[in-house]
Amino acid sequence: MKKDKVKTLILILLVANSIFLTTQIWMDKKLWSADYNFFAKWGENSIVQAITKKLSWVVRNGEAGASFVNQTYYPQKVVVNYGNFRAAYVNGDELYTQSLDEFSRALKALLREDQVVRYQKIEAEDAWLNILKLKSIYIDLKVPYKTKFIGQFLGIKNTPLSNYIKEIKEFILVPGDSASNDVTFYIKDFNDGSVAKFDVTYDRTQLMNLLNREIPASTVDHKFSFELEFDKKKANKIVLDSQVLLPFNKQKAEVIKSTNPIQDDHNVKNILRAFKYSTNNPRKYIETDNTLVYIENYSTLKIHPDGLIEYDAIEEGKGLRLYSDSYGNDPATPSFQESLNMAVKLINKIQDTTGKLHLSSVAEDPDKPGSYKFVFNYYHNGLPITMNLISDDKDILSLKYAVKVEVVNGTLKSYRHYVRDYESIKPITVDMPVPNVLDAIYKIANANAPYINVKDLHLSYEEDGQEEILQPQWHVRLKGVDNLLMIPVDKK
Amino acid sequence: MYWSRVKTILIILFLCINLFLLVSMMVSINQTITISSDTVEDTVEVLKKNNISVEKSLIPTRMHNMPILQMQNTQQDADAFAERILGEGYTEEKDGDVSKYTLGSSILTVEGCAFSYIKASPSTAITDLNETTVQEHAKKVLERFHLNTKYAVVQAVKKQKDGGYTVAFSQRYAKKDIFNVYITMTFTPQGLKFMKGYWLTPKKFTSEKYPIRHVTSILINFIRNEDRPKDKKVTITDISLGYRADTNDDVVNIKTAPAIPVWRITTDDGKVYYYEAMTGDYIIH
Repeated sequence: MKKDKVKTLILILLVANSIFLTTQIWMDKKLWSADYNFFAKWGENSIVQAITKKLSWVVRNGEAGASFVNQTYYPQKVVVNYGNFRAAYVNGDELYTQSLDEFSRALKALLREDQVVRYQKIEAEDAWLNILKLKSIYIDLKVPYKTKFIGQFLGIKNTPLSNYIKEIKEFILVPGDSASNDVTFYIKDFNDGSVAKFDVTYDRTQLMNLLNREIPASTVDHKFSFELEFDKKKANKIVLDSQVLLPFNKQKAEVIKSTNPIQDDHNVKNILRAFKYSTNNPRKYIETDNTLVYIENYSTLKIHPDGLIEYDAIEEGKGLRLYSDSYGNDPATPSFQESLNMAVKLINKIQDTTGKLHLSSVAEDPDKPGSYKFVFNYYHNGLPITMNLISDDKDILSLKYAVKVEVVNGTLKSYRHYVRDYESIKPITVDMPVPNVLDAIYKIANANAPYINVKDLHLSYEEDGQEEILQPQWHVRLKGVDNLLMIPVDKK
Repeated sequence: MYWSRVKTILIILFLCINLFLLVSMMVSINQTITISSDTVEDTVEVLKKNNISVEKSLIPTRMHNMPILQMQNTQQDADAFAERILGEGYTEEKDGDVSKYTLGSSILTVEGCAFSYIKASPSTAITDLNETTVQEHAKKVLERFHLNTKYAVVQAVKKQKDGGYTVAFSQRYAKKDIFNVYITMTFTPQGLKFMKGYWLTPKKFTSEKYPIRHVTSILINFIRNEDRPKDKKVTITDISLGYRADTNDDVVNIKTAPAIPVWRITTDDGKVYYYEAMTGDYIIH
């Protein structure tokens, strides 16, 4: 009886081994010549890939992917003026989502292709600042975007608004009069600074509910610098731009830990797959600083040991074809939104960046339709992470962003990605009144200058590639190019 | 009892199947390609019609799958390399990836694995300089400079008009030549005058082996080669299968680099043509 059991066991092992060996012979590319890899080629067949994609969708449904695309163009802050006080919400706050949703719905109504634009130019010089004092939702995109791109963010291919304003950076949404039940957008033209008023037929009930909420002001109150006359060159040695948003309460923040997730061969293989490089690529170099270099498909891929990924196509148009993944038919000239989606899909294949990366700027080559440069930066719980990397490697030293993707007609031209994971270590309260921040700026900046002009001031983290633990700091942008100060916060 | 017999039969059957599969797999990995004499004759005929002559005996008829050869740079610290060659007290100039070291009349230029050394007035006299001794002198100098000579082989020794000798080294690993890794040294009776090279040292083969292209298909590709002179008849004097360190302009500071199997075709006008053995692609160099 015992002998019989041993026989059964041997039989099972032999059957399993023969299945394993057959699979190896059938499927392993290495065992077939370059011209004849019948079974391995099945895996690359478009029909098989489509079926695999459908099946994997069931598993992957609910993961990052599509929702990330929406989050890439989320503004850093949504500023809500409740009338008696003003709150600034960042991504992650419940009211950030609610306010932004309401704002987006109204904006979509304004941008709609069939919208009859009711437009009026505002002549008064201080009109913009006066409107900011009204009950409103204010959004500053930090960098200007073409109006047509903002339309495409919201799924509107050609918005009539681009006939009136070409580039937009700031919007204010205010409820209109109670008689019409309309809402009004005030939009600043980035090119000439002029202000335009747009009335939109829109049910303002939700907006009114939002602006009339009972919110405890003590936690969120903010003021613009012009309201406190910090923008006047009187006795002030430090002059702030009129619209620098200043917090008037203790700020909740977190100490975070920065890690490089590219630690082993498995991560490297994932990156190679994302760029459609063979994981058995024999053309692998290791540089003296342990940077891995791969050369394949008319392109070079470098994976630096500190997490920088660099991809460069040898020639424009010969790089990785991004659109074959996303679209059935190859579009001749992919639109801005399609190109952005392609870029985001590629980023997500390398790192799950749901809610962590935000689109920071877009550049379109006017002479080459379909050529876009997208720049993304990391955020952690609404606070931006400023790249200020210290390195002997000039490629890393020159990096001022987290990700830059250059796409030409749906083909990848270049890609830079400083891969980092950020996790919360402990919550802290930033207790540093604005006058103290201004004092600190004065001490650090050039005190000989008649005035120190501050263009922007907000809390952020600084990633230098060296420190593992990152503390929130006051990020101060002074007038002039690359004139940045980072001021440590007083914390509790 | 009946089931026990069935199991025994099945075990024997599956043992045979497993053995067969294992042998098939091993054969696939270490695949040997044999080219028939008819194919060789046809290839020679086609080449002849295109002004290329080749002896049938030069065409290899048996080929195996080949692994990639990993090469390593043993001179990663250019400053230390300069100190070993020039001694202390040199001055250094940097221009991008190129470092130029100067000490008196000696100049050393280093760019990644490539280097060039000139000593305008050599001062280490060699009394017994001849075609045989120059090889020993050259090897001793290379060892003094810590250049790994474990796999170095003398490729050629040439006498110069001034009584000096030029020695050219290449590398050979597991009976295969590595074609583009070299050091050329010129000695005069006064000592080492000139040295130039691109030096990487073989480390090991990869575990995976790759199928290689038949040499006959490479020869057919050679007919269409743009670099081959079309207006005159050429004779192929050598066809060799070896390795070529995969140099790339984007990778200068190499720690390790792959050497790819290549077919090298040499013609009677002294020209050499390299083809990637795995893909059959012509390597423009």
